[in-house]
Amino acid sequence: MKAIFILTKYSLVFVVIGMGVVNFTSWKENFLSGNLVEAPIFKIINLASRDKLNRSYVSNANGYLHSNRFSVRGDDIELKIPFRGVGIGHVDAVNISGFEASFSGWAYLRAKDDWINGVVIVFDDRVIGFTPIGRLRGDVAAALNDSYAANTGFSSVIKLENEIDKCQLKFYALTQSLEIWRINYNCN
Amino acid sequence: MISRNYIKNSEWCIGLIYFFIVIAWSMTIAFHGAPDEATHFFLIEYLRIFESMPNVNSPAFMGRFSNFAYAENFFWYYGLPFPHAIGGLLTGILGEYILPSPLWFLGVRLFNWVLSIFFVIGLIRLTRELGLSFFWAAIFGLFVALIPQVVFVFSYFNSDAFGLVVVVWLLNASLKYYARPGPRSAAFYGLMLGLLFLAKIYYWPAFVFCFVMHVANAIYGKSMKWSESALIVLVAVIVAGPMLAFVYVNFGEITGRSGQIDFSNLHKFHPGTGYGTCYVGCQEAIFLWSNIIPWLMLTAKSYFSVTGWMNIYIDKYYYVAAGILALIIVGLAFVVLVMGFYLKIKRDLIEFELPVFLIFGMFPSVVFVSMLASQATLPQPQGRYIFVTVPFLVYLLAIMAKRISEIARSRL
Repeated sequence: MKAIFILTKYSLVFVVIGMGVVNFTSWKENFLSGNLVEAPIFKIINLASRDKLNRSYVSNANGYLHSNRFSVRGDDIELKIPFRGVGIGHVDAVNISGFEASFSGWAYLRAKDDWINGVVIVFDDRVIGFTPIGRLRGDVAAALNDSYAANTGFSSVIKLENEIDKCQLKFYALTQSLEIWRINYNCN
Repeated sequence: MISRNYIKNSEWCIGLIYFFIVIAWSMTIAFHGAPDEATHFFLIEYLRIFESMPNVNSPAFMGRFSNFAYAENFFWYYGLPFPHAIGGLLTGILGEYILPSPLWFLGVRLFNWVLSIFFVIGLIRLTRELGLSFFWAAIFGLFVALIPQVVFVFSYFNSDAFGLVVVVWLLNASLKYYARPGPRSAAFYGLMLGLLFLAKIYYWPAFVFCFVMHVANAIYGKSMKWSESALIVLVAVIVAGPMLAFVYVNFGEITGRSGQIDFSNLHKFHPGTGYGTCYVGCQEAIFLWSNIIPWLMLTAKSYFSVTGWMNIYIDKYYYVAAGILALIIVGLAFVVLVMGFYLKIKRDLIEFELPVFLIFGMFPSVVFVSMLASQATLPQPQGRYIFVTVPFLVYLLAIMAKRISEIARSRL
């Protein structure tokens, strides 16, 4: 009788384990047949990765339309462009030949709500040129391990009014939200 | 001898494990990825935004918790008590402080997740109250709680989770009261009776069980005081009365009948809903088996596991195994019943024979009523409509196990 009791006891434990297996099977079917994109688990992963982006990427939300950046002077509106520091990028080559200068490099902004429109070239605190961003730079994307960095190259030729010293040039990235980042440039 | 503290801790441990199983389910179910979740959310969303009770017809608005766009005159379950909605609203507001806004709907679901802990603990205590050890209580409790459809019901927001928990604790309360009569146990019994009045109407068959058991206990059991019976009724009225009165004043009913009629009117012309399907008292036959059998099969399957929008099935062998298990339980109950008479062991009708008869009567009754409801409105062969029987499954298993051990002891 005791043996039957023990046998029943353990067989019922197996029945409960079996019920757990059925439960898991049903869970799996329900999971895989449901709306995976909207499933909370994927929403959480999505939010967590975006949160990580927010922390490592620069965010310019509420930036460029802030009223203290605008001031009215008669019929003109003056816009202050905040300088944000040194950004990600590099001026790879600068060649000056007489009154012509050619530049190439790349600049990238890791922000989910902002991007670089172009590069401003400054000499002696005066803007001497502007070149848009958008040339293909697969090497940059590979180096940063970020596919969004693929179209970050710039390359341009500008006319100069005077002869200049290439070591006094400064390069700035101008973002969509009208902010400025300096691009690394080593004239040597 | 296992200490009371150890048992209590183990109960909570099992409750927490079950809680996480429910969360694992919930994490894979998109908002409104289970039957009528948005409809259940409506009242909560409306109360949160407008801070007032909606009418039958409501304006269009965006849900705060779910971000779901509720159209103008969106159908919702009006004319019904809404304790689960109040619970969901409170946990939803709590969720606003903890969760990021795209996940606020999980805050509302939290109410049902928490209920799941009390559900499984309630099942274990029910078995223990019926005189079994913690081991058997845990085995029977988990066996029933792990039915996939039961976990599914707790994993998203609906009113069935509340109904299930209330029935489990009502049975607990009644057993506690009959075992240890007194004002405290009577008040607890009254509280659970009151809460059952606030559950959906298809959980009300539990009242029949309680009423018959109460009368039987009054006649055959320990002597009961009239004052305690009055206290039970009084507490039940205090708990349920205000909300029932509020619903009645606002909507002229407490059963949600007119809402159900509206719902079927809304869907009856949709192809595939099967409106007008006849099962009983049809022109062709009194029992139209060609319709009844598929209805019964679908109901049985969805009692066990039909998830998603009642369209995700598991392998048919699982259903066959579950069916065989159910037949074994029923067969064993009959064998035990007959053996009890045959072997002339000391019988206590209130403990075994009467509950078995009541439970065996309850299953076909609720199935039949659910079928009639399908015929009157829309065919909805869904196991959840007979979920009032789930706690009684544990009740049946427990009294059977107890009677088997009594028989074994009497033969030794």
